This record gives sequence, C-alpha cells and structure tokens, in this order.
Amino acid sequence: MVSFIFKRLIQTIITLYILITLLFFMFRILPGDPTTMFVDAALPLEAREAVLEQFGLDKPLHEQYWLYMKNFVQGDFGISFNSREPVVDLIGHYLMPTIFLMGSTILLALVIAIILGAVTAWYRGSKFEAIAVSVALFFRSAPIFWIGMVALAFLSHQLNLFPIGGMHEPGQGSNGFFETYFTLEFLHHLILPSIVGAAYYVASPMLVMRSSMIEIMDEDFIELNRAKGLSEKAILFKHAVRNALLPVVTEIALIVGFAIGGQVLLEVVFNWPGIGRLIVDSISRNDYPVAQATFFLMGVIVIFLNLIADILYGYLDPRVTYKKG
Amino acid sequence: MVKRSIFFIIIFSFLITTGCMSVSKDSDENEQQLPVTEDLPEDRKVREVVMNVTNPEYDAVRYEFGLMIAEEWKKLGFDVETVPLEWNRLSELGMQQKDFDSFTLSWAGRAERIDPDHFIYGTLHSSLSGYGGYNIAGYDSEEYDALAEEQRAVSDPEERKKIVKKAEELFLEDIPYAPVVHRDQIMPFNTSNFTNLTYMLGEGLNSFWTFMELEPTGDEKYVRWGYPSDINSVNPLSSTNSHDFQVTRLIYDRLVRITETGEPENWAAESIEDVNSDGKTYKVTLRSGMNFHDGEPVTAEDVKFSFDLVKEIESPYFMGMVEPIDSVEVVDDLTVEFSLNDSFAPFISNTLAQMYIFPQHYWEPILESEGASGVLDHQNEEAIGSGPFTLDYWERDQELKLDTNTDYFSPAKVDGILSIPYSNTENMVAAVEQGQADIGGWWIEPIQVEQLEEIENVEVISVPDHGLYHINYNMRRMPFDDVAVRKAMTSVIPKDRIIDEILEGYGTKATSVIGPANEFWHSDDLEGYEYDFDSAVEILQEAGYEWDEDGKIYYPEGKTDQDKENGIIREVE
Amino acid sequence: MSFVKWKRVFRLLLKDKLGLIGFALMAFFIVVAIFAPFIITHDPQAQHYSDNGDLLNMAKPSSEHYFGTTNMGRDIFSQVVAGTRVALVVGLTCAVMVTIIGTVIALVAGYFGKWVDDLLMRITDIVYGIPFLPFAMIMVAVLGPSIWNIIIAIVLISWRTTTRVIRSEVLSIKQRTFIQAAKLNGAGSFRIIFRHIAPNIIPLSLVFGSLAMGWAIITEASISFLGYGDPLLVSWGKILFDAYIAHAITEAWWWVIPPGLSITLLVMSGFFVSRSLEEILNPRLSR
Repeated sequence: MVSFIFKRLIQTIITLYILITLLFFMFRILPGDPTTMFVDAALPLEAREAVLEQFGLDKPLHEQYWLYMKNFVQGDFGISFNSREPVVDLIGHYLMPTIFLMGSTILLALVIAIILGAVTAWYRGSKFEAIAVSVALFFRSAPIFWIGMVALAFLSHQLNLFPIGGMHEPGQGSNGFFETYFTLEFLHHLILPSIVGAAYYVASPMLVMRSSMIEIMDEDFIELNRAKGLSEKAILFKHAVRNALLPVVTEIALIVGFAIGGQVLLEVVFNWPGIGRLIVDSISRNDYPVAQATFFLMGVIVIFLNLIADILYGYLDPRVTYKKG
Repeated sequence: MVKRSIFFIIIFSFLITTGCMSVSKDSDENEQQLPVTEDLPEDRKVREVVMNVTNPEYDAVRYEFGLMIAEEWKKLGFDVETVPLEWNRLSELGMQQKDFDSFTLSWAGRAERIDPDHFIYGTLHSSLSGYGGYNIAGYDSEEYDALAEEQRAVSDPEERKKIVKKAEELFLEDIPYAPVVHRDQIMPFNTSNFTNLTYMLGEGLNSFWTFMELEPTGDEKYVRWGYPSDINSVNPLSSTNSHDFQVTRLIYDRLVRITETGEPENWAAESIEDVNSDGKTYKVTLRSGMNFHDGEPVTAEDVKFSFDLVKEIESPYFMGMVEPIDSVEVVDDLTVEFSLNDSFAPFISNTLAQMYIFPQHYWEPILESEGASGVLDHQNEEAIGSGPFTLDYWERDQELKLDTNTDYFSPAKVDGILSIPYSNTENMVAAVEQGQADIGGWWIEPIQVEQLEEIENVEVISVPDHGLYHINYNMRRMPFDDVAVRKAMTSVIPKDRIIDEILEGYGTKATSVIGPANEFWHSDDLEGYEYDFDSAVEILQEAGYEWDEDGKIYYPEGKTDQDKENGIIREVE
Repeated sequence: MSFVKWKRVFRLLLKDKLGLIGFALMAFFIVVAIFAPFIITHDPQAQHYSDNGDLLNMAKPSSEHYFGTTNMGRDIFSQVVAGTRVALVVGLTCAVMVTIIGTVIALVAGYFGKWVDDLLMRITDIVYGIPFLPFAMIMVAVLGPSIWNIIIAIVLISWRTTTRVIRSEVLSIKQRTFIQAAKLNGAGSFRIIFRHIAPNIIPLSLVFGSLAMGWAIITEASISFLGYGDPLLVSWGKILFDAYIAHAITEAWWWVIPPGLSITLLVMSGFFVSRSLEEILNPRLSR
C-alpha cells in the first residue's frame, strides 16, 4: 500500500514535469510575440524590441527553457506581460471568485444528484424516473452558455429576479474577505450562475448514484431490513443511500475536472471575475506567463484529484489490490 | 452486428465529410458582362489572391465588409480566397511581417491622430515599410515622401494643410491602400442619474471631457463607467493598452489637452511660446498653485524629470513622443524650455498633449534603487498624479474607483468615477440598459441602436469619427504592384452598401485618409473612388488586362506571376 | 450476429422508450443533414431585402422565413438546417477518431501492462490535466480557425476518457481463460489483441463513441461561442455566437432557441442511444 502510493507520487511528479515542459513549448509556438497586442498602442519598433529584451524573449529557446524551469521549481511564475504584476498575485486575485462559484455549483449539483439518483432508483420504471432522467440529460446535453443566455434573458432581463452578472453591485468598495464573500448581495449574484452550472453537472453523478443504488437494493441486507419491518423511507435513506454513496464520492474528482473546463463559459456569460476569464484573456493577449501558470494550476488540480481518487478507490474498495500498478 | 455497424458509421461519416460540408443555394444574380478574349495563354492567368479578414468576434464590421468586397473582386475576374484570422495572427502576418496579399484594417480615431501626421507620414512614408512599420502596403514614392516630410516641418497650419492636401492627391493617384468608411462611434448612455453629456471626436464617451462635464441630477454622484474589459495596469510608464490611458489621463495631468473639437488647449501649461518662431524651441510656463495628490507642489523640475524618465526607461507608450526632443531645461520654478532636434509640427498636439507629469519625488527613489525595470514593473497602487481625479482603489476585473480631486483648478462636478469591466460588449450594453452602468464605453453594433433607444432613460450617442476602415494592398506582390489593379479594385468597393447594410447608416464614405469628421484637416474637394464597375473594367482593359470565357482575368501581354504562390517581387526590409 | 440476438435487441429497444426516442432523433438529424440542400429555403449566407429594398434584419418568423432572419438579413431556418450537417460531420468524425484512438491505446496499455501501461496511463494523466476549451483556443490560434483544426483539437483531448474506461475492461478480459488458452496455443500479441480481446470491448467502445459525438458537438459550439470558430462555416455554435454578439437574446428568441435546442436534442439523442446500447449489452442493469 505505502509503496504503491510512493510509486504513484513519483509518477505524478514526472507527469507534472512533462506537463510543465509541454506548456513551455505550447505557448512558444503561439503566433505573434506578446508585443503583437501592443501594436494597437502605437508602439515604436525600438520599444517593441525593448519589451522583448525586458522579458528575456530575445534569448535562444534553450536558455529561456532553462530559466523557465529554474523559476518554476522555485515557485516563481514570472510577471504578466500585460500588467507586469507577479503572476502568483494575479492568480490569487482571480482564484477566490472561481472557488466560490465552482464550489457552490458542485455542491448544489451533488445534493440534487444524490437525492434524484436515490429516488429514481427507488421508483425504477416509473414515469417519474423517465422524466427525471430525461430532464437531467437535457441539461447535460445543452450548451452551458446557451442555458445561461436564456436564463439571463428570462430571469434577469424580463423578470428582474437576478442581477445580469458580475459578483457585486458597483461601488461596494475594496473590502475584506468576509465583507466580500459573505453578504446577501454576493449570494444574490451567486445564485443564478450556480443553478445554471449545477443543472449541467447534475446528470452524471445522478446516474452513477442511481446505478449504485440499484445494485445495493438487490443486495441481501435491504431485504433483511424489510423483513425486520423497517419503513421503506427508513430503508431508503438510512441504509441504501448511505451504502450507494461510495461511487459518487469517487465521481467528484471527475466532475471537478470537467467543471474546471466548463468554468470558462460560465464566467464569460455571467461576467464572473474568475480564473476562466483570466485564462481566456491571457490567451488572446499572448500573455504566456499567466496562461502557462493557469494551465499548470488546472492541470495540477486535476492530476492530484485523480491521484487521490485512485488511492481512495483502492482504499474503499477492497477488491482493488495495489500489487499490480 | 457490431463490426458491421462500425463499418457503416465510418463509411457514412466519410460519405458526408467528403461531400461539401457547407450547404449553399445559388441565387440568380445578374452576372456582370466582361469582354472575352479567346485562347489566352495559361501563364498569364492572374494567381489566386487572398483577402484576410478579422474574425467576427474581433470586429464584425471588418469581417462583413471584407467578404462583401471579395465578392466584388470576384466579379472582376480575380480568384479571391477569403481567410479570416484571429487578431494576433493577423496583426503578426499583416502588420508586422507584411506576409499578406490584402487585408482589412482599421486605424482607430484617437485624439492624437487628429493631427494629420499619423495618416500622412505614419502610414505612408517609405521609411516605415519594414518589419513592424505602419506603412503596411509598402508604398515607396520619393515624391510622396518629400511631401510627407515637408508637412511635418511647417508649423503654420494653413500652409501645412495645403501640403497635406497635395499628399492626399498623390495618395489617391497611387492608391496604396483603399479607404473604405469612417464608422461613427455609437455608445450607450443611461440618463437616469446624470446630465450634460459631452463627448469627443475619436474618443466618444470615454473622453476626458465627458467626466469633467457630467452633472449629477440626483443622489447618485459617482459615474459608473462600463467597458468590455479591464485596464491592464495603473502604471502608465509600462502601459501599452489604450484603455489604460483613458483611465490614467484622469489621474495624471497633461500640459496640453485636446478639446472636444480637436484643437490643443493649454491645460496645466499656462502659456506655450515658440521662442524663435522656428518650431525648434518651446518655452512652457506652468499654471501656478498645482499640487500632486499627496500635497507636494507641481514644479518645472517634475516636468523635466518626466521627459527624462520616459527616455531613460524606454517607456513603451511615451517613447515615440519624446523622440523629437533634444533636451529639456528648467528655467525657473514654473518654466521649462524644450529644444527639439528639428522643427516638428505635431509637437504641441501630439507630444505635449499626450505626455503626463510624473512626480519626481515619487519616482526618483524607485529609479535609483531598482533601476529602469523597477520603474516599469512598479505596481503603482497609489497612482499619485496631479490630475482631476485620485485613485481610491482598483480591484482587478471587479471595479476601479476614482474620487474627484476637489483641490484641482477646475474640479469635476461629479463625486467620482466607478470603472466597471465586463466580460464582453454584450454584458456591458445589458448593464447600461438595466441602469447598472451610466456610460457604455465601447462601440456597439449599429443594429442595437434602435432597440436601445426604445428603452426609457437610455440614450445612444453617435459621433462621426476620423478613424479609418481600409483595405491594404501588398504592393510588394503581384498583381497589387500594378496601380491599375489597385484602382480597379478600389473602384468596386460598394461603400454605400457597406454603410447601409453593415453600419445601418452610422458611417460616412471615406474618400481619402483624413475623414470629414476631422474638420480642420479634411479637404472636401478631393476626388475619391465611387462604386463604378464599368470604369473598373475600363481601367484594367486600358492597362492591357484580358478575360477568358469563364470571366477569369489575365495579365497584359508579357507579364506573368514571377512567384506563382505569393506573387512576391520585393522583399520586406 | 444471429437472428435471435437481433430479435432480443429489437425487443429491448421497444421496451426502452428513451432509447427509441434517441434513435429516432438521431435518424431525423441524419436525414436532415443528408438532404440539407433540398430542405433549405434560402442560401444560408444570402442577405434578404424587404419589398421596399431595406435589409430584412431580425425579422420575426413568417411563412417566408420560418425562423425569421438575423441582423444581417440571413435566413435562420436555412442556417439551422445547414448547421445540422456541420454538427453531424464534427460529431461523427470526432466519435470515430476518438473511439479508434482511445480503444487502440487502451488495448495496447491493458494488454502489455508493465511499463507500457504505466507510460500510456501517465500520458493519459497529462492529457487529463490540460483544460479542454483553453487548449482548443490555442490550437485554433496556432493553426487557424478552420473546422478541421477544431476537430483535431477535440480528438487530441477526448480520447482520454475512452482509454481510461476501456483499459480497465481490457484488464479484466485479459484474465479470462480463453485469452490464457490462446496464449498457451502460441498466438502472437497482435493476434490476441485484435482477434480475441478487441471484439469483446467493441460494444463498450460504441457506448463511448456515442457519448464522444455529443461531447464533440458541444465543444465545437463552445469554441464558436468564444469567437474561435470557423467564421466561414454556418455551425449551430456560430449562429448562437452571432446572436450573442448582436445582443439578440432579449429581442429575437427565434434566433437563439432553434440552434440551441438543436444542439441539445442531438447531443441528448447520443446519450439516449448510448444508454440504450449499454442496456442491450449489459443486461444486468436492464432487469
């Protein structure tokens, strides 16, 4: 067990190294050096060269790579070409809004998924099941930005129930952590994007929950409980659901992985100042240091979640042995 | 079953993919008649040319009119392939490397481009046709260069205007690039909380004067200024983005500001004197009693320091402006003298009206301890200037707050400004509609005007602009090296349709490079190109071009594409 | 495949209403795609003018223009019909390529095990670590905004899911006696993989193939929506993007609903079909 974890850790480090290298080359093949964006601002030729020199982009590729690796290992992600702000500070600034939006989205999706998954399994073959599954799959099939557009048009523009986007009303000021994220006003801005996001993510954990429930319900102990005279509700919630949750937990890693990708669209449509928008902007501005670091961050999260899911899965499910890698 | 179904899917998908993916229906258009010559030799056939356009996300107008013009060129017998490119790629290939046949571009109508120097010299002088230069077409005419240089040296505006006009006439004769339209700036404004809306040529509602003149009508005294992206930095010394300067020019003061009507007006400078009347030495006296936001007085030393600073650290935006300056000397506490290398007509309207006054006591220690890169990388969170607004805070991609500087010699009437970035124009417009923003600082699509005007409290301003939508021809390549081809292609640009259908009437036809909105410098008696298919055919015929039975165009006798692929006849320096 | 088995498939299908709906929907879209040139009423890119010569912009649905017109006076019905073909080509091409690539990698990794497996699985991990949409944006920026480049980007990323699931299936099949028997009989690796293991995992591949189709269609739409789509091609995502930048959502529902609904229904049909396939192939769930 310990040696398995150790081996996987070593592998993960190698994986990360390759990812970093990949990112370096991926952004170097992008068309246009970062000064392309400056063309707009009447940048004289000499100044463009000066900018390239200031960022070390005039050096040969292998020197750039060496420097890049050295800085990465030291946790120095460089400074943004655009704003000249350290990339770490920039990411820190955009991370919190994303964590809040993604957290509430996934939490909401999981709660709905577990309830609906359990109930649809319980009422297997009923009309309710067909409708619930269809609706969940409908939202899973619809482009998230389209649902967002329609929801905004209807709920915000027509009915004025929700703000049309953003995280705060203008003029709230530069506040501390609690004043920023723990107000009713913030919640009001958070609700609609969270619902739209959750509607998208609900289907897969729900279906996993449902199949897992079906398997559990076939097992003997449910029958045993029935025989003991427990009410159906008690059986459903106390025994079946609890036992069926395991595969759903491992599903979380996958959902987070997906959510990180889908975040971009949600943030654009709802004007949410998060990592997704940072990554889109940095790509369109050829701001490699920022794009590299955000890609890396997303990669690290997904790779580690997969690692944890792998280990957890084996830990929770005794059928998996660690002998074979 | 399984194997068979896979086989079926593969076969099926190939069946439709090999067929054409895009579906179209031929509409019956009356084909234009071209004179036909039989048995033309294949090697005289004009190669296929490429028209690059931006993708519609970057600018739907440029994309649509590019497609429209390509259609017209096809009617003339040219094989035209339209290739949309993402902006980074387009600006790299087109603006920097000059690796293109033709492409659509727009010179934005900035305040500093009211002075004709950008269009007359900057986009057409032969010295700027190399890598990264703005003479994109590769225009190279000694006669023209002489005129472009001459207008720079003459400081008398009336005299200068005559030279500018001569240059424009020559431009139209040689037509290195084709002026298409001047697009009106259309921006939305919500009238619920403010009145006395002022806007400006080339700047629209983002102008300095908008914020100086707005008056609150109710309790809401902070103007909420929406924009489809955030600024990059509040350090103007390293900024390169034009929106950054729209914000920082409210914080930092300038010696001269361009008025709503486009003339330079003394601002932080009380007087400016051309000492020897030869345009080489200027004596500038500062307004007295001005202070920086931290209470320190603004002195001649600060002005000198600012010019020296940007030169020393090679500040990207300001560097070009200080280039004509040889030295800056402090005469007394409030007087500085600028000595120029040569007389430079746009000195006041471009250099003095663009440069900021930086506080010496703030930047000098940074320069001394951290050097040039320290200054460029400085985050400048305090942003101490001497302008009409002070920076309260900036939360990146959330909002930026400016407070009115009540000690200013001409204070704004509002209490301050909230600058709010949106993820795109759509969200910005929605915010103005809903009254969550007062000003929408970006050009909206003409189609939206009607629907916005129906909304209570929403007003849409439209200002004619001196910015120029145009098509670049690459004169380094065949067939664009031939003036007849450029003239003919320019003659079939359907300017009226572009204005009616794409701009919904919000634009004016571009005759030459200086638009009618630029009232002083525009000459309205220049003869430009109107849509005239027959005369285009005539021009080509006269030059010896011929057409085959399929209506494809052939070079005059004795001429063939040297380079079949790209038609290159001259390399970029 | 014998007649009896077909009968079972058919019987199961009839019982599974959602599956039936899925197959019907997909058949419908395929028919529309094939006959698109005959169904469209106008050229999707042509601009239309009213009788008095004005551009017909954002006209309401009418008997002339079933879904109304865009801000540039283009017929939305014809655009949506033309978009069906793009969606299906993108969806099917990606599905086929993803399934083939994903399955082959899974077979090789699962069969050979040891360092081959380790290596291929770590590559899968890396691909998992690359955020999908931003990666596609970069590909388009580098290679140019053509639909084929978008397809390449989708394929380069999407094989990861197929590989991961199928590999574990291969691992379990590998242990089965008939594989061991084939090995003892001296069959070569290649033969074992493709003659003995592959046929057993193809059903599962198909399930993932139909999921990949939906995924590809949504991704194409998302890339178009971010403005990185093929501007010369009328795809559903492009129609939605045009509507979005023209700010049509509150004004012209007829421009926004049809393409969005088409995407949803086609992707959903992929889900229904895959579920139905799964139930047919894995009777344990379908009791």
